[in-house]
Amino acid sequence: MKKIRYPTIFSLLALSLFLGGCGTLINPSSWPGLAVEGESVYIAYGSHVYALQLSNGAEQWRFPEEAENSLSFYSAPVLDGDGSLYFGSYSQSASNGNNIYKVDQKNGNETWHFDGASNRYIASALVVDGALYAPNADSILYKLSTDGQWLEDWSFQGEEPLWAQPQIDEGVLYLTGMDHHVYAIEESSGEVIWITEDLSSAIASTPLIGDDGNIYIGTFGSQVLAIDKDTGTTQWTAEMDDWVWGTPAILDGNLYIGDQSGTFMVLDSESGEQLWSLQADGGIIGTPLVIDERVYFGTEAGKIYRIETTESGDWDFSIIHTVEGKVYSPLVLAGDILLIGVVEGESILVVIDMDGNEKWDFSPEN
Amino acid sequence: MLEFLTVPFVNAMVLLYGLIGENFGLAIILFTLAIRLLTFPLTSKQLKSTQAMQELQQSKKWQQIQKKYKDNKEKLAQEQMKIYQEMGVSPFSSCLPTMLQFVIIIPVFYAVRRVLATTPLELLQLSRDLGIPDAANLIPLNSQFLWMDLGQPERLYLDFLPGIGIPVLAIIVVITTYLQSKLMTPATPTGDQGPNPTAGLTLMMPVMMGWISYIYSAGLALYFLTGNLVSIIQYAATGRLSLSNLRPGNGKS
Repeated sequence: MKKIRYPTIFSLLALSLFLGGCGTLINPSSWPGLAVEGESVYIAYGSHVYALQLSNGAEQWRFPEEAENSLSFYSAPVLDGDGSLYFGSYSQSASNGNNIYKVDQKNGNETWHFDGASNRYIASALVVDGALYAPNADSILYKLSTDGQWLEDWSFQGEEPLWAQPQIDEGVLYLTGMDHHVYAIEESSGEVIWITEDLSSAIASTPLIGDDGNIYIGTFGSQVLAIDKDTGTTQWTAEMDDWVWGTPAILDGNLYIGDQSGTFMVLDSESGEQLWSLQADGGIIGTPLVIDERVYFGTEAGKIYRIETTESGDWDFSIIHTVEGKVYSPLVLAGDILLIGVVEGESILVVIDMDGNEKWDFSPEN
Repeated sequence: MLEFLTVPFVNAMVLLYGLIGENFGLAIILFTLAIRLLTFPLTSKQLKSTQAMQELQQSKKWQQIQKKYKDNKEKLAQEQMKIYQEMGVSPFSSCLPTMLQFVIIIPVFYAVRRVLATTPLELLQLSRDLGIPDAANLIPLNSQFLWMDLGQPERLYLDFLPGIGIPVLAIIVVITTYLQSKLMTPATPTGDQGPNPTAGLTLMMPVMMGWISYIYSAGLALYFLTGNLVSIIQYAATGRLSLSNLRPGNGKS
C-alpha cells in the first residue's frame, strides 16, 4: 500500500497547488475602458485607472496609487464636465470592492466612493444633471447624487445583471438588461414606462437612440433589433451570424454593426434589410465609431478597419493599422487621433492618426 | 487546460441546466451522478484491487518475506513482485482510478467557472465553448441554489453572528470526505496492530478538499459533496462499507 500512498499524496499536492495558482492570478477579466477630455486620456484597465497626456502618453496619475488586492477597473470612466471623473470597480471575489468612485480629474484624488452595491460594475455610469445612474451586476440601477449619496427613493431593479450603460432622451432612460429585456424608465421618478417582451437572449449593448423614433440594440441571440422608443414594440429584427456585444452606429440612415464571428453588416435602419457585409479577420465586440462619413472598428485579430462608401454608392473597406493583441474596446476619437484599447498585447493603449500611423502607445510601469 | 474535457463538461452542464428548468445546483448534482456512473467500472475495480492488496499483505507468505528480506530491499522488491504476479494483483491498479478522479477535477473546476461567467472575457470564452443550439437563450445562468451563489465561495451569514460567514458547504465536504475515506477503507482485522499506511491520507484528503471548497466556488464544493455521497452509496450498495472503522479505536487514524 505504501506504493500507492505517495503518488496519491503527490497528486493531491499538485492539484491544490495547481488550482491555488489559478485562483490567485489576477487575469484580465474585461477590456480597457477609455475616455478623453481636453489634453488627457483616461484608461481603466486592471488594477488602476490611468490619466495620460494626450500628446505623448506620459502618465499624469493613476488611481489607486498602489494596487489594492484584487480590485479591478474596466468600465470606461465618465466625465461630468465639471472637473470630476466617475468610474466603477469590482473585485475578483465579487463580495466586496464593488464601488463607484468620484475623483478629481486633475490629480486623481478621491472625492468619495460608494460601496452599496453587492456585485460588479461592468458598465459605465451615466451622468445627467447632477445625478449618476450606475448599472450594476446585482441588477440594480443605482441613482447617486454627485456628492455620493444613494437616492434610494428612486429605484430600479431588473431580473438579471445590468451590463450596459443607460442612455437618456427627453427625460426617459433607456436601459438594456441581461434579463432579455429593454426598459424605458422615467428619469425623474424611476417609474417604468414600458418593458419589451422577452427578447430571448441577454443584452449587453447600450441602446442607440435614433432620430427616427427607434432605439437600436444588438443581442447575444445574434440579432439587431429596432424598438419603438414610445411603446417598446419591436419594429424589425435583423439576423447576424453570432453574438452581438456592441451597439450599432448610424450614418446616413444606415446601421453599422459587427458580431463575435467577425461578420460586419450595413443594415437599412428603416427595415433592417442587409445592404452590405464584410467578413473581418477576427471577432468584432466593440461599437463601431463614425467619423466624417467613415466607420471604424477593431477586431479580435488586432486589425483596425475603415469602412467608407464608394462613388457608386457601395461600400469598401481598408485595414489601416494592426496592433499586437486583441481589440475589444470601442475605438475613441480624440481630436484627430484614434485611441485603441488592447488586450493581451504589449501595450494596453495604442494611439494612431486617421491614416493608421502609430503616434504612441502606453504600457503601465509597475 | 484539458480543453478536450473542459468544453464537453461545459456543454453537458449547460444542457442539463436547460433540461431541468434552469437550476444550476441540480445540474451540477446530475452531472456528478453521470460522471460517477461513467467511472463506476473503474471505481469498482479499484475497490477489488484494494481488497486484494490488503488480503495479500496479510497473507503468511507476504509476512514471511518481509521478515526474511528485511535487510535486503532489492531482494524484497523482487519477491514482492513475484507474489503480485502469482496472485494476479497489480500494485498500481488501485491507484489509477484515484488518479482519474484528480484528472477530472481540473476540467470540472474550469467548467464550473466558465459556465457561471460573471465578467465580459469569461462570457466571451463561454460563448465560444457552447455548441448547443439556442444555448445563448439560457445566458446568464442562474447561479443561485438554496442559500448559495454557486459562482462564489459559499458562506452562511446568520443574524446573531454579524459579519461572520460560516463555510457550511466546506465543512460538510470535510466531514463527508473523511467518512468516505473511513468507510471505504477495508476493515483491519481484530488484533492486527500494525501500522496503517493510509491513515495520513485519510486525514489529508478531507483537509485538501475542504480547503479547495473554502476558497473556490460553491459549485465546485457541491461537486465534491455530491461525489462523496455517491461514492458512499455506491459502496453501501455493494455491501462493502467498513462501518467498523467508525468505531473508536478502529482504523487507527
